[in-house]
Amino acid sequence: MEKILVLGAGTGGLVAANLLASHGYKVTLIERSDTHLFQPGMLWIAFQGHSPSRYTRPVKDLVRPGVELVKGSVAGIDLGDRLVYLADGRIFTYTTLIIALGAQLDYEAVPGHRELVERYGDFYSGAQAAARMWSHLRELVRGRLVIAAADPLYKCPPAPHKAAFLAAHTLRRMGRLDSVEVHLALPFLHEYPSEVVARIVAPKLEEAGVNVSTLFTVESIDVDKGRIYSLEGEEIDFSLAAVIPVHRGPSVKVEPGEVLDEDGFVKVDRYKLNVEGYDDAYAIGDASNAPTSKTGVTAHLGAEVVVDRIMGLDSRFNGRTNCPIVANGEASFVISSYDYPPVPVKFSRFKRMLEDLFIASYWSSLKYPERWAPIFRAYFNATDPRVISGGW
Amino acid sequence: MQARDPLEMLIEELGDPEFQEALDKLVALVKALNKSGLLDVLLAMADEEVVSRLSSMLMTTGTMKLADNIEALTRAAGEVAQALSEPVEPVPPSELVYSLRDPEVLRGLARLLAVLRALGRT
Ligand SMILES: Cc1cc2nc3c(=O)[nH]c(=O)nc-3n(C[C@H](O)[C@H](O)[C@H](O)COP(=O)(O)OP(=O)(O)OC[C@H]3O[C@@H](n4cnc5c(N)ncnc54)[C@H](O)[C@@H]3O)c2cc1C
Repeated sequence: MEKILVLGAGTGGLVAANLLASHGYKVTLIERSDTHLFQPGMLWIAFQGHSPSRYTRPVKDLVRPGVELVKGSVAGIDLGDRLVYLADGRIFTYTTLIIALGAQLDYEAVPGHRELVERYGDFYSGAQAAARMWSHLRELVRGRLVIAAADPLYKCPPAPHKAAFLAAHTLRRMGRLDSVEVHLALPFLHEYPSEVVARIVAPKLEEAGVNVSTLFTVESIDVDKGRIYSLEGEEIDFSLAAVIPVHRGPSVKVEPGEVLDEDGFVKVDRYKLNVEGYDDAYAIGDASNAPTSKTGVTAHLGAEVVVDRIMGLDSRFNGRTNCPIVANGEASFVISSYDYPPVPVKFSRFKRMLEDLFIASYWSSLKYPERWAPIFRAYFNATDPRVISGGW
Repeated sequence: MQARDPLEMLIEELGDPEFQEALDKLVALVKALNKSGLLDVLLAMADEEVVSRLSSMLMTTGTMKLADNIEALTRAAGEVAQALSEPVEPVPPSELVYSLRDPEVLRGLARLLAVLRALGRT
């Protein structure tokens, strides 16, 4: 009797479990949290004051009949014996395993970081932390808001840019952009890892009144002094700051340990997404080491590939990304795949409308992924980096 | 906080006059849609294959680029339409070369060349 176990009810896990259920499979989904958070929502909570309730839903409302939802915290996975251990001692067996545990945020790697996030909140660690950031931004009448990162590898590469655009927009509306500087400190050579994208984003940042430092990787934070020090030997003072934390693989003990890379991400075949050396276990989304951006789109598309493969089809993941960069009234997308570096995609109002539609479809696309599949497929084919290589 | 009984919440909701009014309108809308036959069309369209064909027809590289540039296109079309409505005198060939000194004409010519190049690519 087939027993499919999905670990984690984030974007990837919910899409995989619900898609399998729509094809008649019995699935068990293990999740430690009662609520699912639409993570991009943290940007709108932190920098535009949206209510957290807009971006959270109970996990139980997001699973279809046919999916058995188990509340529990995964502590260990034994790939050889096909066992999953929960922290409370329960043990699950499986015939097929899908690991969708996301990335773990490490606030201890950078001295002062834990203190910073406890005091000011941020836009990565949860809806409450995002609300805390908003309560401080609202009070900020003069000084400097710094948005920075502790490592070049983090989910949604344009997230700090979006944060800066949204914050600058809010401050402008409050009439405070003259007295509050929005400063984006990035751990890259240019304004974005890809130079093609950097050339498109840089003038927009300038237009929005955002100041940028490049080659600035946060090494330590002195919260009382209001100062951030970088690995590259620079420093910057802040009145309010949000630093994107170091990301690591899921905090779960995995046997054999060789399937994890040095940062704890699960090593997979980049096309088939099976765990290296195992054909009955897969890893999707942020938890895997697939060499592409860590985004919801990637997790969603990866889940579709894995479900196809479980059904016996030879689907392959091509590493497609579609990260939105939202600026004032406009948007661009970072479009790339394993074989194509990001193509030039200019900012437009139409793309902003598309992004609004993607956000509006989020909850429905988690629960009824098979309904959205043809629509998303058409979009991804139309905007394949190979066919729009000249730009969009 | 004590979790509330869902049935209790539903009963409370039903008693809300705002809810009653909304429900009446919804029923009227559904009836009207049914009578006009539109509901049948919508039901037929909610088929996976229809959605698939429709979305792959509507969302192509061409339409995505078109929609992205719709503002520039309508702006240009608006200018052209206005120019068409204004009276013009025929330009004698001997004076054609003077028109080419006009920077707007030169820019327009550059645009036309770019359009020709794009057409050549397809
Ligand atoms: C500010 C911000 C903006 C973003 N913007 C975008 C965007 O615009 N577009 C985009 O595509 N992506 C965006 N992303 C990225 C996107 O949210 C993630 O890449 C996506 O959620 C990854 O999905 P996942 O399923 O791999 O992991 P997650 O969605 O993180 O899910 C992991 C799940 O596993 C659960 N879990 C973890 N450990 C355990 C355990 N031990 N036991 C049980 N359960 C566990 C967690 O509670 C969680 O529910 C953004 C992220 C952030 C932070």
